[in-house]
Amino acid sequence: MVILRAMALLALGAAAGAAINATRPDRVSLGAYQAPVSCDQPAGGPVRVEVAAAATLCGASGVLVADARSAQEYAAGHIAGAVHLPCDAAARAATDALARGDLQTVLVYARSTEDALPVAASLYRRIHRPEVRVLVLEGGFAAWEHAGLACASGQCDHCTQPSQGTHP
Amino acid sequence: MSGLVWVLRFALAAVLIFAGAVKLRDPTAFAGEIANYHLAEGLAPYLAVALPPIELILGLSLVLAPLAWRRAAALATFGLMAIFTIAVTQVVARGIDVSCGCFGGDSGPVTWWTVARDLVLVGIAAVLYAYETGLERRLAPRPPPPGSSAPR
Repeated sequence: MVILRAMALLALGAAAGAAINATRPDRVSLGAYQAPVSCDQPAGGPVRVEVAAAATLCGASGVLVADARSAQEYAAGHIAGAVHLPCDAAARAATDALARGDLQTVLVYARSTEDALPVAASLYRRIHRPEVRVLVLEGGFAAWEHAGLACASGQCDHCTQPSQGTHP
Repeated sequence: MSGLVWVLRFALAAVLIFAGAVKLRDPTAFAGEIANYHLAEGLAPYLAVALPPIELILGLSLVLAPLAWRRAAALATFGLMAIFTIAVTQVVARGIDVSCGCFGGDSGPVTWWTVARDLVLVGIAAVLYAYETGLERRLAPRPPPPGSSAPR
């Protein structure tokens, strides 16, 4: 009996809510409600950039380059100075870099543009600062390599002891 | 004991009434917050419409209703708070920032302190329900004395 009374109270509340919603001008549209998309498509979001534009970032201050591929692919060759994101230690280093006040640009690349987009979107949401640009490299690492731009090889410095540094 | 129970009852009722009133002011924003929990996004608009009046009715029932309905309100509040606690716990465990519904949010408005607060409210509702149940049993009319029955 107590359960029935409890359900009756809940039902009464729900019915009252429906009645109130129907009468108010700022009612919630039950059938056509659209959840906020602040996360799925953040205003400003990651921007795709061609290799030529991304190349101008080399050596610039306030730039963080993030590699979202596997460790093997990273070790085989990566953009000089890039942090290997999937590696936990590098992720912590990336987090520290993201928190820096002088950070202006984050360039994310992966095997392809499509692979990098969700990673860049996630970083964009984590950063939450409109002054920081998050870029996605069109064509991935292959495009950068094809253009003959500065590459390095070896495992991520942050993941292992820095026995294998970068070399041009 | 009954004094303490009344304090708990008023405290829980105040929380429910205040929460319900605040959510009732902007149901669309509340629906967005529910969607940001990433638990039952399809139900977000319906919950946004139903939950605030439910909280108001439960809060008022806890202090104004007759005993049987106060007991039912305590039970319903217990269930409601338990569900809220589960929802909040999964948000914190999954690292969701409910202000934007984003995963990986560092410190959104929902934290382990929110979970702890909701657990306290669950506990208060449980105490109220147990007390009202005991009270109802004590006040229930006594069964008539057994008639003469042949001993076995």
